[in-house]
Amino acid sequence: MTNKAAERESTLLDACIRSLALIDTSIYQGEAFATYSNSISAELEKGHIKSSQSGFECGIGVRVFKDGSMGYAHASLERVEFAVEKAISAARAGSPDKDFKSLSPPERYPTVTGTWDRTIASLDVAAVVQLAIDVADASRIDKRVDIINSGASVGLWSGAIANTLGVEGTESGTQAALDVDVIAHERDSSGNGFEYAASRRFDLDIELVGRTAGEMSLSSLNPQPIQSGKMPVVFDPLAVGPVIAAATAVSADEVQRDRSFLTGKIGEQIAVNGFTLVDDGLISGGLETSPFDAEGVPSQRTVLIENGVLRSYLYDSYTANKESRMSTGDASRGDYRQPPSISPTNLLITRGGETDVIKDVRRGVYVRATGDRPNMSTGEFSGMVYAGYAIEDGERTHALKQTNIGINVLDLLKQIDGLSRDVTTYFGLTTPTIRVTNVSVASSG
Amino acid sequence: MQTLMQELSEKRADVEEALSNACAHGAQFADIRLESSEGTSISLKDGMTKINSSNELGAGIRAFLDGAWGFAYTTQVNRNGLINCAERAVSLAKAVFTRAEKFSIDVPVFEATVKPTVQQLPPHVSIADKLNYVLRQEQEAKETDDRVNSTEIGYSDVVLRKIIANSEGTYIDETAVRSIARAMIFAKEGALRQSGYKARGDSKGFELFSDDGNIGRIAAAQAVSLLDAKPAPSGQFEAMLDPSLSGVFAHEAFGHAAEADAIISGTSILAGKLTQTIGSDAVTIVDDPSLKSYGYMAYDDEGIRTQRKVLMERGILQSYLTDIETGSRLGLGSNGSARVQRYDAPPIVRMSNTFFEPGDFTFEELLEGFSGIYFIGWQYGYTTPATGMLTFKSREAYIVEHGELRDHLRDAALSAMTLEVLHNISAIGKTLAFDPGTCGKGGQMTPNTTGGAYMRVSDVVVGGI
Repeated sequence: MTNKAAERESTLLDACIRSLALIDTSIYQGEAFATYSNSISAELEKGHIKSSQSGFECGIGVRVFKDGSMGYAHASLERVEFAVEKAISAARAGSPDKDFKSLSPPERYPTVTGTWDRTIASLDVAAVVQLAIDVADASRIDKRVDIINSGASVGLWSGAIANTLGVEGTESGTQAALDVDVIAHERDSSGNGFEYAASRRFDLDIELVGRTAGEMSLSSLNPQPIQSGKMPVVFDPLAVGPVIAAATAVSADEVQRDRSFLTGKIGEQIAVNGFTLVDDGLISGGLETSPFDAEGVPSQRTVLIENGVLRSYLYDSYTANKESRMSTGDASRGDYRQPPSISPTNLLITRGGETDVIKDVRRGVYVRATGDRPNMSTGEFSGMVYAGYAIEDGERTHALKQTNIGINVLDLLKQIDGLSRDVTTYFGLTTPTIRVTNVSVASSG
Repeated sequence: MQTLMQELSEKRADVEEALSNACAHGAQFADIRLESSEGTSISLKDGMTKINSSNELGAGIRAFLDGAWGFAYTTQVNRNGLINCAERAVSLAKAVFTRAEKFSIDVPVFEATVKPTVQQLPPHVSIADKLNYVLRQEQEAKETDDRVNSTEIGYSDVVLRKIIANSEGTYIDETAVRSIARAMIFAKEGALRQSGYKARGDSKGFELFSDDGNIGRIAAAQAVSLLDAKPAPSGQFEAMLDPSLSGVFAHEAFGHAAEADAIISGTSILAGKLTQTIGSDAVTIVDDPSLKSYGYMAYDDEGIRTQRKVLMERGILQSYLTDIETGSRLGLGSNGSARVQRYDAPPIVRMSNTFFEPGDFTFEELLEGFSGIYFIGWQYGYTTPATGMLTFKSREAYIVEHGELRDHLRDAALSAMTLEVLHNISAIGKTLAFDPGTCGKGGQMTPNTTGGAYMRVSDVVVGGI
């Protein structure tokens, strides 16, 4: 971290403390969260530079509680008084909530590493444009790959949080991201390929990102339906996120309101023995790594599913207080404009031992991506294979056309029969490729 | 003390100076969106309130040079802040223009002041009155049935004043008002859980909520009715869509493909198809930002006067949605389709109020002799732009046999190819209905309306296994 970032952190913390001083703590509890962010991005359309953007902004969000009624307001740093006044009047207007006990008290924060990269912080627009060009070039692996759109961005931010109980924390971070979206054409068929990558460090494998998108567009050409039935389905790490991880890293708020299919299942064997899911806000260089969460609660490692047994939900301080337990540090927010809500930090699914999870599949489906998600009330999942392939005799063969898969997540977790040794990270989830037996597959068209 | 919003009236000289400064530094064209907004949102979850008071003041400036755009934004909207922001936008354009594909742009000029004509301006309504409306929705949801076990009501309003100006002389001062309320209600019986949803939104003030339209009760009734619904069968079926789903089809599957940026970037199935017959002659689809609905805007975010756009007329593709850049590059001109989420993002091509024109049939006539799946309400869905493959998940559905409603179904999904659906729409109902919603594209969210009528579509794949 640089001196500049340290200076920004102290300016932000000052603004938080200044705003809290305006709150009468005999009536209210208050919390202030201030951020500074600065980003540069570039966009390529069909291989040509289309635009570049840069912006920085600074703002503060103030949360005030009166008898559990929450008021929130945000403003620029010059106008903290305005935000406090608005948040107080909003808190006074709402209904009391007896389940609200308190904001979090101060605690010592852990040290995190790999969240600041000097190189990312020093990149200029020309360097960012070059990243977008390089990833586009890397995707052009064949002359059939003829439409390439790509983008690159880098950003740095500093943040501060403080509350009327004495919590004070600051942090700074960097991130670089790449995306590429390509289309291949062959006679009447077109195939779409895409790939994303993001990192806190300047270590993106540009070559691999581009090549993956290019290869995917080629292998998506000439899609065919397959015969419907029950068969093994292999979930690519990109598909594990929405289908398996999102369904099993469950907010305690959903559980307490009795809306989740995982309600009341703590201690139960809900998945096969080999399945372990961890929420870890501390891993070095993780996209969601931070010393503290959006309420100033120290980040931690929480085992959610251990060898198939459901161990925990995700908690913020409100839901934790409701059960008289500790928060898991999973309060999160997009920016200073919104109050916190519960969301996982970095998720990790423990790797398995298989070097090739499809080699023993005689007939099955490989799901690279789906836009569908399970019904979180029932656990039922049915979705279209947005990008995927048939597996025949241990080999990935043709792309799939209009193919749907369906299974209840509770069945899926017990029918996992293979986890790869390799793991991949997408959007904060690090996971192996996962094979599930006996999934309904319907295909036509 | 004058409000932030009133301050915008005094910004004209600064805005014009910043824009001419951009051109003096080398931009061939520059534009600005300077905005101030004030809004309240209320979330009521099982009796727990969260009230969020939002205020924004900021400006975004674009500079154009030989086919490249630079964009910068700021919250410092005094003279120096705007000039500095304009200079940053120009330097970004200069950093990239040598590697851009060259083209020039054609910019029509407008000047206007637009004021909303609402009856109850949201900032003039007390938070207590807004909260009462929300509490009433919760109360009525709970009273619907004792199996209702969790309720979530959201309310939000905004007054947004925007100065949209450019270096060619456009100067628009437009104030818009929007209000929306949403109910998400959960019901439980034994181990079974289901949910229901209803929203109501418009370019109106608090008067929108003065009548009896009760979103809490409607969503609760849907959640409860789904408790004994069955999973959907899978296979190929005839389909009937309700107005919500046909409206979403108009927006999601067809509308996005008609956005000219997708045409130019080669990611749309509608590229090269203008004036061609691509659907059945029952199909006419319109996008109309000038319609006073949730997606209303008198001028778009590039300061172009908006108009009704017939995208497809009786099966023939008539028009794309264009902004200044794409309209210039395609030789079609802008038809006023540029929008931003907020000052901190550049304009991109977007829809507004997108709908099917109604047909001639009553609901009963459409149902007559129909056997297949009748889909109701939108849960979520998506499309692959390059191929037109789509999948939509409905809130509820029925198996219909010879015009008779049989099994009630939950989570039924339909998937199909957009161009095939357009050909396979065989009949459209006569009553049009609109739903408010939020559309995401390029990381920017905008308020939109989708509109449709009951319609019959042959040969869709149903999942829900």
